[in-house]
Amino acid sequence: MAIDIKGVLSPLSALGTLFEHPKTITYPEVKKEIPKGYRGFHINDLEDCIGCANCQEVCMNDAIDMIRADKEYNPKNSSACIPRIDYGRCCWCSLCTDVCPPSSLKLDSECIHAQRDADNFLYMPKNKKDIS
Amino acid sequence: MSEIQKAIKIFHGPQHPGITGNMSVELDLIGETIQKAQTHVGYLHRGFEKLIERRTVVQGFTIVCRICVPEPDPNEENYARAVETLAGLEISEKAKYIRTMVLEMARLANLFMWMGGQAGSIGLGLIPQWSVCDRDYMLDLFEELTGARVYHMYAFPGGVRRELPEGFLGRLSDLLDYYEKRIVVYNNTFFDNVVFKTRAIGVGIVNKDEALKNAYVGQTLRACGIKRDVRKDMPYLMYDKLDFDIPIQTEGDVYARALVRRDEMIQSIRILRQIIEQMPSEGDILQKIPKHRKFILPAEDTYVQTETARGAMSYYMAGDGTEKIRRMQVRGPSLIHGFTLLEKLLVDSQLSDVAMTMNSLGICPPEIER
Amino acid sequence: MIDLASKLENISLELVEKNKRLYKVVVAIENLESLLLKFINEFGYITLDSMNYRDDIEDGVFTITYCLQTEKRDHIVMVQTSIVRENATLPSIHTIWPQAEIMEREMHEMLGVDFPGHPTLIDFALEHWQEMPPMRRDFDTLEFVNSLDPFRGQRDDNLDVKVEMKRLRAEKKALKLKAEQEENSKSEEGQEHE
Repeated sequence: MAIDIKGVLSPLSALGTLFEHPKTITYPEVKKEIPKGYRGFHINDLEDCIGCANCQEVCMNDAIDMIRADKEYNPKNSSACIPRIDYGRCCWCSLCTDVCPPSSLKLDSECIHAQRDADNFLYMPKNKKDIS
Repeated sequence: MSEIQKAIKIFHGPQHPGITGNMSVELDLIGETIQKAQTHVGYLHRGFEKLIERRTVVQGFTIVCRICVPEPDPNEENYARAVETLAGLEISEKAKYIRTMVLEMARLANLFMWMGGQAGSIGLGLIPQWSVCDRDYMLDLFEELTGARVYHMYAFPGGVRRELPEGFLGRLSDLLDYYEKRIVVYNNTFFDNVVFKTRAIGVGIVNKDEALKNAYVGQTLRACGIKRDVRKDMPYLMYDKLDFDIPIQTEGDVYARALVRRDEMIQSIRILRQIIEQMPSEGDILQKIPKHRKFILPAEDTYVQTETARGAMSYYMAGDGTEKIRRMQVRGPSLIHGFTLLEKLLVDSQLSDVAMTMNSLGICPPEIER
Repeated sequence: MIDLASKLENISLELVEKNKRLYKVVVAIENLESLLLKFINEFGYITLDSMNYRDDIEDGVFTITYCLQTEKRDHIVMVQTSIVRENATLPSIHTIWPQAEIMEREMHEMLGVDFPGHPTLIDFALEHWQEMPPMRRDFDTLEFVNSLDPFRGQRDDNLDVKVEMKRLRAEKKALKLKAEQEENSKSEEGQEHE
């Protein structure tokens, strides 16, 4: 029976990787850099939001509620309502940011939200000036 | 003295590390030889076709990518092309080049994942570790381009959603150089490995004479010597202007299908290099389309096909004169490979070859039962 | 491309050309099987790619489409027929193409069409399903889901934006009117003092 010498010896070349630098990073000391444009959590510039509910209308999972704002952020907000998003239903498709007329609703790079209580997933987007 | 042989019935799956997803195969065994096999699906039925009926065109595009997990882009491409055919939209040349590039990148990512599954199913635990890491580099590029790693939601009816980032084509070219070196390493450790050859040669041979009639697609056909590929037979996007070959083998067993897939990875790299050279620098990426409640589809139907890394995937789409989609039906390559072909191939084979055969046919349960 | 129009003259049907690789043929249910065999034997469309269905509830029919493909896989023809919704039956073609067995099984479960002579009309994806076939248009999935799991609470403070806009406009108008009245009464008082 012919022995496949090449088939027996060539996999042994994998031993050379014992001396290579590993390709993983030591999370959480070193964190991966998230590129610009990643579809993470929502931020809303309340001074520009006009309360038109276009985002609620286009959301295909019925994830957005319009609730009464606690104070007047924008005098041009004709309904005094701002959006709040249910993160148990959102799929981060960013259709809501595409149809926002003053472009106040945007997606940031944050992506970690671990909670013990299932009802903590009703998320109020952070106001833009609180972040920068 | 007569031997009494009893057949034992076992369920291979749905919780099994060698299965390519969530499905089970009910096997009747005598000893370790299979007498009869029956496939059971239903663990992943999410009801996409019914969900689409309540949604408009723009809302529906966000759902379709979730039909197939390892390679979501051909689904988006099929959906976009079906809507463009019904509504009569033309897309620009730059958008066509970008969509072709995204399809080829997804094909490479899927083939790396297949390699991990195939090697893992016979016990070579080193290859899945390497190939999943190499796939991750491609997912990093997708994250930059589309905003998400797996569910891209990028190919939109009318073009694509975002521009190419600065320096993207240079980074893609560096990644392709890295992949060419890695294919040499995979040749040494996997494709020329005597363990894989002994297990895979002569197992799972597909009958060549009935392959075309029974609608087998993809590498199952090409490993039998029949050269069929949607990109050459019914070309779409920019494939009629790009230069590439269709690799074939003749034996029709598991090893031949593995070699066909390796050669397709090399051809994909060749196509991507041509796209990087020929990408136009100017042009609209998205045509103007009506707002989502005003985008009306006419009362007609159409049928489109795209070549995925597993075979030809087809969509049937019908509109009815309102803003909602009347009907969208998905027919993936795994519907026939997972039922008709698998139940035939497993008869008179060994129990330990079940996982290897399923990985080699490329059966993806999310596609079967959407 | 085979000139289909001239070769199909003696069967009553409707032929539509969608583009140079895709044709659609609409035929009555009685001529369906003979037309499919004609496509395989005479015109070279040997592959059954898929069986698609659509519920046209307004017309009371199911519209079934058989998509056939040539041996070179470069042309597709969609053979379409309509059957009545009540007690819908179709002839089973699993003896011609073995892949039709799983496609007909799915159609039986999802749409409720019967295929006499089919060997395994058991469930495909839904186990122990008691309701009506789900892909029919009169099956309301939203109602079905809400009857099993109630919608999660704590979202009761959702407001209708159009109602809020009207309310805010009325409030602002009332405030403006009140301010005008106060100003008028102040100017009247000022005139009285003089």
